[in-house]
Amino acid sequence: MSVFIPVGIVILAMLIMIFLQLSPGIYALFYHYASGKYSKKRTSDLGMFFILGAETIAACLFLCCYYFAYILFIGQSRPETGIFAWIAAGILIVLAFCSFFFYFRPGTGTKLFIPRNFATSLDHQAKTIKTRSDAFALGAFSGTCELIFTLPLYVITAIEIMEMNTEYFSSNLLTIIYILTPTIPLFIIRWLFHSGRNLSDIIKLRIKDKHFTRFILAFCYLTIAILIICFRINS
Amino acid sequence: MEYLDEQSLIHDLKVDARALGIPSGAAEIFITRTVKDAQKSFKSKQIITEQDLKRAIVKELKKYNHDFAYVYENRDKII
Repeated sequence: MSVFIPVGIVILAMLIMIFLQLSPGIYALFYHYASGKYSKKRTSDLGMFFILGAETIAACLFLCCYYFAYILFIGQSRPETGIFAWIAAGILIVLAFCSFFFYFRPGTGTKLFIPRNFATSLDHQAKTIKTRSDAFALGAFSGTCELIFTLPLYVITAIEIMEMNTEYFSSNLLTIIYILTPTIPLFIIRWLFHSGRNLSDIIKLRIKDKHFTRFILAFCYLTIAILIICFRINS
Repeated sequence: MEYLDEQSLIHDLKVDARALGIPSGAAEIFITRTVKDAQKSFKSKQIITEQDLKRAIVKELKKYNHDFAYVYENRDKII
C-alpha cells in the first residue's frame, strides 16, 4: 500500500481540524471577556489553560479512537476492504454536504449549526470564567461540541495511521502532529489578540472567510470520501 | 431577557470597552450617555424587546466608537 494515500487522508483531516470554527469562536469570546476583566498576564494564563484543555480532549478522543480501532480491527479482515469503508465514505459525503449547507446558519454573522440556546449557554460560560480549571474545562468542552464533525475523522485517521507503512514515515510523529492540529487556530487567535487586534477584527476576519471555510470543509470531506472509495474499497 | 437591569448592562459594556482598549474614563462617559440616550428613545414605547434595546444601544454607540458598536452588535453571532 502506498504511503501517500494515508498521509494524504491525514493531511486533509488536519486541514478540516484547522478550519472548524466552534473552538476558535469560543476562544475568541473567552479571550475578549477575560481581557475586559483581568490583567494581560492573567488573561494570557487563562488562555493557555483553555488551549491545554482543548489539546487534552483532542488527544484523549484520538487515542480512544485509536484504541477501539486497534481492538476492533487487529487480526481481523482489513477494515478498508469491508463494509466499514462504505459507511465511512457515506458519512464523509453527508458531512461534506452538511458543512457546505448547514455549518454556518444563514444571515450576516458566523452563527454556527449548534442550537441557539446552547450557543447562548457557551457564551455565558465564556463570560463567567474565573479560574484556570474553568478555562481548562471550557477548552475541553469546546473540543467535544463539534464531535459530529470530528469523530468520523478521528476514527478514519486512527485506522489510516494504524495501517500505515512506517518504512518512510514515522506514524508516531504523524499522530503527534495530528493531535496538535486542533490547537493551531487557537494559537492564531491568541497571536492576533497579542498583536493588538480585538474581537471586532476577528469577527470581520471570520465573516470574510466564511464562504471559503465552507468550501474548504466540504472539499476536504469529499476528497477523503473519494480517496476511501478509490483506494480502500476497490483495492 | 439578557439585561434585566441597567447596572448589568453598564457592567457588560464596560468589560467590552476595556477589552477593546478604550480608556476607562472615556468609556465611562460615553457608556453612561449611550444608556441614557437609549432610554430616552424608549420613552414613547410601552413595550420594548431585547432587539429594540440592542438596536438603540448600537445606534448610540456608533456615535462614539465604531469597533465597540460592531462588537456589541455581532458578539452573539460568533458561535
